[in-house]
Amino acid sequence: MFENSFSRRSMLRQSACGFGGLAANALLGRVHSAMPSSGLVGTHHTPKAKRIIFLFMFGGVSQVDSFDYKPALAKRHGELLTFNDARQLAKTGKATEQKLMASPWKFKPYGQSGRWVSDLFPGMAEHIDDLCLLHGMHTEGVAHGPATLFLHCGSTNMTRPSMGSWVNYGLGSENENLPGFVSITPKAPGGPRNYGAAFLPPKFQGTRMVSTNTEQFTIDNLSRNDLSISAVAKQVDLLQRLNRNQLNRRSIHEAELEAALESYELAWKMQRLAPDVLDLSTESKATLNMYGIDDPATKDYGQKCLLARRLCEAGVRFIEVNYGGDTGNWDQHSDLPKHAEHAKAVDRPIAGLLMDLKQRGLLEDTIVWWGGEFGRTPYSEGKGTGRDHNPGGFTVWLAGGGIKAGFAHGETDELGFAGIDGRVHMHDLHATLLHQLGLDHKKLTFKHAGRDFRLTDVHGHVVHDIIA
Amino acid sequence: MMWSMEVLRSEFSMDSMSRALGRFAISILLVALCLIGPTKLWGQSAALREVENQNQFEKWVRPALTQYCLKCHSSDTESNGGLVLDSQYGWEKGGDSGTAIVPGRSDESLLIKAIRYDETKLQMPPDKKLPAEVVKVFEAWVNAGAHDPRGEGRRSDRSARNSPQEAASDYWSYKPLSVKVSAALSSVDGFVNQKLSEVELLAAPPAERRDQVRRLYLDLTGLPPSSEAIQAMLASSDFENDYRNLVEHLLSSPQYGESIARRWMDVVRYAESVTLRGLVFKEAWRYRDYLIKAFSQDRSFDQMICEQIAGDLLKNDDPNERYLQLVATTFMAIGDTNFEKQDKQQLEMDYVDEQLDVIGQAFLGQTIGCARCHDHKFDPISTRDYYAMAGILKSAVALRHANVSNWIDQPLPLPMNEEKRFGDLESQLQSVTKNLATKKKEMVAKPKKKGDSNSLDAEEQKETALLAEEVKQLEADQKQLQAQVDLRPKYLTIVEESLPKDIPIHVRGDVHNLGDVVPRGFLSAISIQPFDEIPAGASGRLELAKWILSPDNPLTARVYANRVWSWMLGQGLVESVSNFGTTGSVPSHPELLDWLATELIQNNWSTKHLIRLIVQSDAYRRKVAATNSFGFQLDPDNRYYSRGNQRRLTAEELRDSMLYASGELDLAMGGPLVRAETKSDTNYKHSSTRRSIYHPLFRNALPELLDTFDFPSPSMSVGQRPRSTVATQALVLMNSDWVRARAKAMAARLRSECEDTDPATWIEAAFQICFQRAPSIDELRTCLAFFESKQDLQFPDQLETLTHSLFASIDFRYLE
Repeated sequence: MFENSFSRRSMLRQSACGFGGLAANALLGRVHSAMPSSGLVGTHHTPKAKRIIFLFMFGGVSQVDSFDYKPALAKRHGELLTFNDARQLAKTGKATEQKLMASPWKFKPYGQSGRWVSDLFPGMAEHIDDLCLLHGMHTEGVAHGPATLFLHCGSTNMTRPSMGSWVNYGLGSENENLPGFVSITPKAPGGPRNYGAAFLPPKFQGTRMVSTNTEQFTIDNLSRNDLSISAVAKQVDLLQRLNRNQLNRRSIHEAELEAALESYELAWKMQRLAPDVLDLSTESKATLNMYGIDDPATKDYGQKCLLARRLCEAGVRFIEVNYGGDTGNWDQHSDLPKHAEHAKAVDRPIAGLLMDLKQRGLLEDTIVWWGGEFGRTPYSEGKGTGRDHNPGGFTVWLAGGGIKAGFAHGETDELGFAGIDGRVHMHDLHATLLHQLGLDHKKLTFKHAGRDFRLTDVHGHVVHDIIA
Repeated sequence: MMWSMEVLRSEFSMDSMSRALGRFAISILLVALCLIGPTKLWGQSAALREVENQNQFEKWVRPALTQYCLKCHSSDTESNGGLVLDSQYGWEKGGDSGTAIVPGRSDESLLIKAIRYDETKLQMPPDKKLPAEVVKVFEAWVNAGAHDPRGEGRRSDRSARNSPQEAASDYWSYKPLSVKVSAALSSVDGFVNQKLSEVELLAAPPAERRDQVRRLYLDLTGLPPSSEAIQAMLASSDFENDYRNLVEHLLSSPQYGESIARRWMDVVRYAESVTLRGLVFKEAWRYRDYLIKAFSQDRSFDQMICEQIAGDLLKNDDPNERYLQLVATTFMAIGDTNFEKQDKQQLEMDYVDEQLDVIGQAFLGQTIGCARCHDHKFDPISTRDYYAMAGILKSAVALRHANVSNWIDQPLPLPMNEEKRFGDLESQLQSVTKNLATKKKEMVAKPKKKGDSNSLDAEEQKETALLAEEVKQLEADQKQLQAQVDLRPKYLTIVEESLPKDIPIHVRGDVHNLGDVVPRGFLSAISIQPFDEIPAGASGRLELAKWILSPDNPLTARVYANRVWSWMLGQGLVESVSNFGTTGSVPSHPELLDWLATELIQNNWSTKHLIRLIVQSDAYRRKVAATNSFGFQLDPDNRYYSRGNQRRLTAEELRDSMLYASGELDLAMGGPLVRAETKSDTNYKHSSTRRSIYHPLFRNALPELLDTFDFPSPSMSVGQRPRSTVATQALVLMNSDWVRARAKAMAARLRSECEDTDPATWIEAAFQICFQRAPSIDELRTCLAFFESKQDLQFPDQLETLTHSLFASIDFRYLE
């Protein structure tokens, strides 16, 4: 009836299945075997990592108050100097006079590598020998909207697929019962575009995870709470019987219809299995404490980090753990000391995550990526008490997944304003992360509107210096 | 002594000492120290100079180029910025910014400027400034004449290629519409059947009457028929005639305009908010209503093109027509703009780029955006063409700049009395505002009461209190007047305010790197007189529209005719419906396409005329059959239309059909649905039971179901929706509160409409409502068995579970 002779186009269309492959894959087994078994593209070289956890510090953490120690800044506190301030430069094209502001936090060296970290992050600092600090980061966009989109999609304005979508397009899912790209409680400006598939097939779009109450996370429409599981089983049974009745009435069984039937089977399976992955209550008290879930100040981000580890174990390729939304984030234009509040909320959970991943051997093939959409200026904004955005030099750290540990790459000038050595553009970071996953950022392309598109546009270089 | 052996020897002798700095840096340093100036060379013989130049290049310049530059600037790897440095030809020709090296003049050479890090915009290598010694080497080499023994490099293979302009000019889509269409073939079936016989495929018989009627209803109105409508058609004694009448009936129904408008809204990336901060376009709905009205009354599509691009520049004394012309221009202003971008020059060009991208894809099937940074690599669109058109659009103002720039809502023209009323309100507001400012100034001038009340006498205190009272009153007045003034109807648009001007090429799309100024114009590959001339003082936007809609433009009618075909048949004759360039697909039936395009033009660009031609054809009405005799194996994608294509309901159709079945669908037309207090689209709760097209199309909060069922991204022009079958769809159909509520409402409807209360009656009625047919014996048995399992009291309502299952079943989602 429909055993063979499917064109590639109709095959792709009809077997475009949701979280992972539907039975259409089995149905079209012989055809499908000609395709890479996991994703549409497959790896280009041997991967060093299988997945990424991105700890997104929305708002922009100040590098000179955290990981980029600048003794000169403390000494020259209050001095007036002329800077190419990114916002002023974008608006007026002119350099402006600014007042240097020392960090209110103390720094000290940690670990065998002896790298300096401020008092903001004592927990992360304990893991300094696992981290690779990128001090020479720079990016596009001076405001949150453009820079956040750039961070996620490699473009400040155009509608482009998010990095997690590219990764799933390239590699496919490791777990057919879960989405391959998850964003935990996303709230940043740019909305769904930050985890959207844009022109990539819809199955690669990120799935939003939301918290239903204080203990439990869920995916939209995962289940209904008014029916017992056995009642749902009966409902599915009725539906599938009707579906088979209807299928038999039709003169042909198009693969698309078979796939629709199969989608209910998969949904039913997910409905039973996914809640277990999302349920944190089975974790030991020791684990919960490690993530700071015992403390109201760290509970929220701790739960998200713990969920990230569980998703990581379950085979999700790209997990974004969001910190900060429209209310409450790292954006301290005034009142820099408020950074301490945010640092408190994330420090212990992240330290816990690193420790947990390491204990479980997951850090070997998981990259943890920590950072914001940009950094902050070493001078005060409008000579006040906060710092403005700084896309020209900031720090991001990576851990695990074949990245050098206890390492630092690049540096900013003596005041911590602009990257002067080992500068890594956001495109370069994207290229490097893809590289570790076995994907060549120049070959990971998708044809749309007459040309091949890629995450890094026509830019990006793999930063080989940080690869172990 | 410049390039003597002594230097080389000293390099080797230094070698062992150069641990910290590295051998190369030291050797460069030594050379640099030796390079006092080029004059010392002049005294030597030409032959010796040649050798020494070569030595200098090989020993110092080539390694430095290799180490620092060629990774990004060579024909083997990539040519960033269009610049290659692996040959003399490469740097002479230069990149997008021009010649890289001026021999003998380091200060004028871009390459030297870049490596000196003198300017913020041009710093190479980008990750780190070169060691000073290396910079000196390059300077000395350039000053000495930049001798480069590599010469021409690969110049020859580069210039051998034909330019895309030449190669594409004889591509099918740029050629005029073919006129020699034989009369005998002049119908959809004439062309389709001829192709079928050529490829020796048999045509499938017509679909069952019921399926034909369902298909027609969904395609022309986006809603299923009533079971009565089906019964009438099944009973027809002259089905052909009644089918034709049904086509006319549906084409004139109000739902037709909604259904076709929605398809066009995909193409024009219609939305009512931007993703940035969820800012809401409160006036965008007027454009949606324009489209519904225009398609309903079968407005000429060429007129619609003109109105959407340049309606503001047209004229009409009829206020209703003028209204339509104005609100049509919202088309130009609903992109998903990042208004917060701080580089406002860049923001303006991004805005224009987005407009060009949509205009190019929607009307011309061209990917014009590719030419923003470089000449189109495949199609005859040069960067000059791009900036010629960009200049036209840049002549209109679309943004008022602020930290988050504002879009433009213009006041709509009103009847005289209304115009006067708002005029009065405006002037009252102005005078109150002025008055308020004066009073506030007085307040500030008053001495402040600082705890020590004795310092102010009672009189002064009284005056101050009075003044404060006045200010308070004025502020209240101002607020109240402003609220009234805000009620004046506005529309979202762009405006031409200042004199139009030509703009320069933006080298590699960079607003801060400007090249030649280009006169405003259109695609040079398609020259149509007299529209190529832009009158003095005009921006050219109206001329651009006229150039697009000219019957002599070979692209426009083809692209639109193909779209209409794809709306009815599920796929285009040209599969890449928005890309008619050389990277797109070629037509499966070129003559049919040209015939349809010609029919369109000759029939006053009537969309309904095209639809009639298509839906009355046998090709459209065939059975969805898959036996090999109908080409399932030979033509799996059904490119020859030997059988019907399986049609599935779009997200909106699925949603509307559920509301229809539950009896809740509200068929009211038009008007805004966004609740007045809405500041941001985030977490917007959609609550209406109107058709999906009327729901606020919020980019951060699409109505239920839409997102999951392949609704296209409203941030970009989409010609063909994706078609996915994913588990999330199943989850939504089984678990979403919205679907459950519809199932519940339908159960209630069945209970109130059915006289008998036995399950068999309900089942019969439910099947009629959902599928316009009776249940088969198997289906009836399945459903009854479910009801009979009475011992199962887990369901709050078994009837609701049944209606819910019918919504989720394949017959509800896929037409036969």
